[in-house]
Amino acid sequence: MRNSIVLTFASVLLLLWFCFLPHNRQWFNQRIIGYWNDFLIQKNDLTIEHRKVKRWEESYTVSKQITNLLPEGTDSSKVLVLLPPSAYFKERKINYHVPEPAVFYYYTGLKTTWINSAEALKANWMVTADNGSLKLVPVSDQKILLDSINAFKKYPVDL
Amino acid sequence: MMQLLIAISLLILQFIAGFGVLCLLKIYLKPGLFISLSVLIGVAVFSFVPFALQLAYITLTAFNVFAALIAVSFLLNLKSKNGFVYLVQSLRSYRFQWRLYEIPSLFLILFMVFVSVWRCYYYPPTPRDLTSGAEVIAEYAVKEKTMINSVFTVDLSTTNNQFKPPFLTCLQIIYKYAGFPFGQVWLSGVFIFFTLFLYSALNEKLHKIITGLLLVMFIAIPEMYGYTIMALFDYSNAVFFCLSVYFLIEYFANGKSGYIILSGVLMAIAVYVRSETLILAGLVLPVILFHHWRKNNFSKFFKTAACFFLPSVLIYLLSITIYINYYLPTLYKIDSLLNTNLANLNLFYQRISDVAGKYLLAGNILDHYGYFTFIFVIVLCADAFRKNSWNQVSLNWLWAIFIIFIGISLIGFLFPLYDLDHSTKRGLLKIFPLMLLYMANSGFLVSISEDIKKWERS
Repeated sequence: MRNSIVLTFASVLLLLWFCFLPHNRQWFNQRIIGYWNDFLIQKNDLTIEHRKVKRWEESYTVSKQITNLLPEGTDSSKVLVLLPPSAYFKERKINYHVPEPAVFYYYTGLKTTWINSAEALKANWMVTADNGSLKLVPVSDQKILLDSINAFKKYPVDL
Repeated sequence: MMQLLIAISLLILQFIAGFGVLCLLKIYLKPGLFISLSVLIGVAVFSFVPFALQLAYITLTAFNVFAALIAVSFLLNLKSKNGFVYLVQSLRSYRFQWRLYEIPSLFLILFMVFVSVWRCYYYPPTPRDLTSGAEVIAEYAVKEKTMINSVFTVDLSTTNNQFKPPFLTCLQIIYKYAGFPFGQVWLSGVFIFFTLFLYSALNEKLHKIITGLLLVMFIAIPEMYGYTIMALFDYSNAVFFCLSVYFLIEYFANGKSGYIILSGVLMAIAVYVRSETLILAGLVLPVILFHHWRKNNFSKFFKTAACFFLPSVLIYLLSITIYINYYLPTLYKIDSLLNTNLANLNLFYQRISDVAGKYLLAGNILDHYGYFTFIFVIVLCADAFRKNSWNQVSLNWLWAIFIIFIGISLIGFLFPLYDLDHSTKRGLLKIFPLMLLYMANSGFLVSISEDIKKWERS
């Protein structure tokens, strides 16, 4: 029994030594203790929407907002929305990291396209932003669409 | 509470399926290894069932998927009577003895596991590799009852993730149908039972105080731990690759055909998770050749190599060549991803140098992999300087580590898309369970363990 207690003491010391190594100390604090503290708050709100918003943040909420701008009665399966790059929104004071089309579809069920895609010319709606507010406008003229794509091209496209 | 019960029910069904596979191969292990391995193989069986239904153009309704899972799980157990008797007997004779000194490390491990499981359950999938591929396909597969769904009508010019093998998609479909809107919970099953497997494997030769400490060090590898929370391909890939090597080394020791078949099947699962693992499987073949050459049993090499390598080739053909070319509505030319300048080996040497210099031995090592590699190097040096430290098993594990080190660099050389900062960094996760199991067989640590055991008994 005495040996067992000595080994237990040794085990605790070794674990403490490992946990308090300079880099590990920070990691344990941020990841293990930090996540434990998150758990204590998270367990009180298990709604699916809340969890999505917490995880995906503006990328999700703004995407949902854009989808909600679609007029009622529009057949969303026939909609293809042209999304400007993230830098365009940033310049207009909207913190929105534009998700790529597959992810946008996952978030909202709406099909989108980017300015550097061959699909861009097929877009029948496009998003614009001004003074922090978003607009979803129908593409009435192919020339306007082409001009808009060219105008958006001054912003870098990144994933 | 209901979700917990469902998760446990799925784990039990996975155990039944995996148990059946082990019994078919007449592989009977100690309870800790047997149970954990059964669940892990069960997860792999599950991941194949919706894919098989899809290949047969059977609609992926909840009823079809769960009926198929139950049917497969029980069909695999038609010859499990002996295995069942063996497991009951070994559980009866098994004495669960908790030593006081195990408790601190077990407590810490359980705490880390709980935090990971909770976060994995709570948050939706995050990595874009998942949300732009397997996850979005799974989400719409549940809505449209097929994996070849409206996602393929979306503008997919920004991604090639829809072409990844369907391992993750299938598990996500099953868990979404089971009532987990974000799926992912299967990953916690893989994490828990792989940890149990490693704990049992380490305990075979090491003292429990060393086992506990090594396992804490392993779980606390930052990048590795992160991927027990976020579902992606690489953690599961590392698990099945490690298990394959484990049974290959067991086969080298006992020569039983069931072990080499299981090793081949597990490698095939690793290929099913990440297709480029086929290259690593190919790199293992010289080790098999060397084994038979050393035993002057060269004629057996072809049979062993076929058992080991053919399942991987078959699963690659099925999940990549056939599925992508004949099922998916969009084209994907994998040969177009190949490096066109293979004669320029400088890129290969550069990748080896980057892997070692930026990730494994220096650079950002602490941010990504913590102190684990340093611990491994210390143990390796202790073995090198200590007399009679090497044994066949530890040398085999060392070979496996070398294969990953060279193999991951080779994959990066062959496929430029397999970049250093993402794919290679995650691909290196495969090396850590191998390092851990090398340490489990290290002459130096085994000798310390023996000394502690002697002192404990005195």
